[in-house]
Amino acid sequence: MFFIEILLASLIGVFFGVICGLTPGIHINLVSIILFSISSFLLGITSPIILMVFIVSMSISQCFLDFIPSIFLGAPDENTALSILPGHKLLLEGKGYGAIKLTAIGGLFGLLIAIALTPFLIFVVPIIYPSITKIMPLLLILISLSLIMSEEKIFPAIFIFIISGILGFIVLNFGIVNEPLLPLFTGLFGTSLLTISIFEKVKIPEQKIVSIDVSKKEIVKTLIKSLFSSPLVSFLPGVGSSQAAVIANAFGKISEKAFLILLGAINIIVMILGFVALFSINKPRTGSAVIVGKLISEFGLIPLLICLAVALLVGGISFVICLFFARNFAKLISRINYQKLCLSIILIVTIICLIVSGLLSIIILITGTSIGILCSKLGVKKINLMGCLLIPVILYYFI
Amino acid sequence: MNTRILLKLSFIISLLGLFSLIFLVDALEPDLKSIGEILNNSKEYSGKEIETFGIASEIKNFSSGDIYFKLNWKNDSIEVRGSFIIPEINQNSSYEVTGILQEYKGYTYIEARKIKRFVP
Repeated sequence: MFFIEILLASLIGVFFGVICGLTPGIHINLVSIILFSISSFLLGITSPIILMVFIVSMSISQCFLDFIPSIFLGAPDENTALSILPGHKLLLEGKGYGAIKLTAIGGLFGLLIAIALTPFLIFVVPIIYPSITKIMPLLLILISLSLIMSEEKIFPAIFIFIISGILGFIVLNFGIVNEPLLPLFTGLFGTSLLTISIFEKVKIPEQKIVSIDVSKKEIVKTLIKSLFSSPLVSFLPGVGSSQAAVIANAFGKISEKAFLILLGAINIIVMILGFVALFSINKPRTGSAVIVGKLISEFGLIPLLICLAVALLVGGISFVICLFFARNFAKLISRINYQKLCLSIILIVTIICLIVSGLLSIIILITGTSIGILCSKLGVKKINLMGCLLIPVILYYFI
Repeated sequence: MNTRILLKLSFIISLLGLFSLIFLVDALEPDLKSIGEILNNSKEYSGKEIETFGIASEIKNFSSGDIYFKLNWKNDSIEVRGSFIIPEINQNSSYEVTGILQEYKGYTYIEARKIKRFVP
C-alpha cells in the first residue's frame, strides 16, 4: 500500500512538474510553499515521506521541462536563463527540438552523475565544506574576471557585468519584491530577447524534428565539467545552477550545443545534490530541499535514498515527456505569427510578475530588459549578464 | 545520440528507480505490531522502526510544534513523540504510528515518523 502511495505521489509530482515546467513564471518553489502551507491538513491523510516524494518528483520533472518555454518562447527562469541564446540560435536554424533534446540528454546523464557522486559526497562534504566556503568568493572573483577577459570587447563587457550586478544587488538585497529572481531573469534574458525579436521581425523557420550531432568525446568532456562545477555550488549558500554553468564555462571553451547539454546536466545535478546537502550538512540549498527539510526534521539515509530512487524513476519518465512536448512545440511554433507570440509572452510574463512579485517588479523587468537589449547591441555575450548574481554573491561573502 | 538508445536508457533508469523503491519501501514499512508486543520485546525493537496502532490520550502540544501523547490499546500504553509537522491529534481517536522505538533511562517511547488515522 505504501509503495502504491509513493508511486502515485511520484506520478502526481510529474504532472505538476510538467505544468510548472511548461508555464513561464510558475516555479516549483511556489507549489512547494503552497503544499507546505496546507501540510497540516495533508499529513492527516498521508505521511511526510509521501509529500517529500511529491516534491522531489515535481522538482526533477520541472528540471527537464523548463527548457521548453526558455528555448521556444524565450521565457526563462533562473536555472535556464543561459540556455536562451544558444537555444534561440538553434531555433532560428529550425533545430528547436534538437536544442531541447540536448538539454534532456544532459539531464539524463546528469541524473546518473548525481546518483554516482552521492556516496562520495556524503562522506567528503562534511569534511571539506568549511574550506569550500572560504575559497568560494575568491573562485567567483576569478571566474568573473575570466568571463570578462574572454570577451573581445572588454570594456563593454565590464560595463554590462557591473550594471547587471548593481541591478542584481539592489533587487536581491533590499527585499523590494517577492520572488525577485522572476522579474530579474525574465527581464535580462527573456523579454530583452523577445523585444529584439519583435523589432527585428524575426521569423521562426519550419522546425525539423532531428537530432543535433555532438560527438561522444564532446559530450563526455561536457559532463566532466558539470561533474566538477555542480558539487561546488550545491553545498554553498547564494550560488546555484547558473553559477555552476559559469564556472564550467570558465574551465575551457565549449561549443553552444555542448553548453545546452551542460545546462541540462547541471540543473539536475544541483537539484539532486540539494537533497544530499540536506542529509550531509543539514543545510538545504534549494527551495525544494528547504520544504523537504521542514517536512522531515530528521532527514536520514532512508529518506535520502527514497529521494534518489524517485529521481531515477521520474527522470526516465520526464525525459520521454520532455521529448514529446518538444516535438509538439516544434511542430506548432512555425505555424504561429512569431511577433504576436512574442508580444503575448511579454504580456503574460508581465502579468505573472505583477501577480507574483508585485507592482515594483515591473520597474525591475523594464530595467532588466533594457540591460539585456544593451548587451545584445554592444555585441557582448549574454553570460556577462550573470553579473546580476555573481556580484551580489561575491559581496555576500565579503560584507 | 540515437533517440532509440536514449529512450531505452531512460526506460532502464526508470526501472532502476522503481526496483530501488520497492526495496526501500520494504525496508521502510515494518509489520503492524500491538503495543503489548512492542513493550514485551522492547529490547529487541529498541532503535528499530516499528509500526503500531491505538487510541490517543493525554495530548500535550508544545510551542516548538512538537506533540506528545499516549497511545493506548487494551491494557497497554506507550508515549508517542512527534518532532515534525504531524496532523492534529484528537483525544480518543485511533491512530497508526510509525517510528523509531526509543529507550531513555528505562523509559520507552516512539519517535514518530508517520502518524495517520487508523480504522481498526
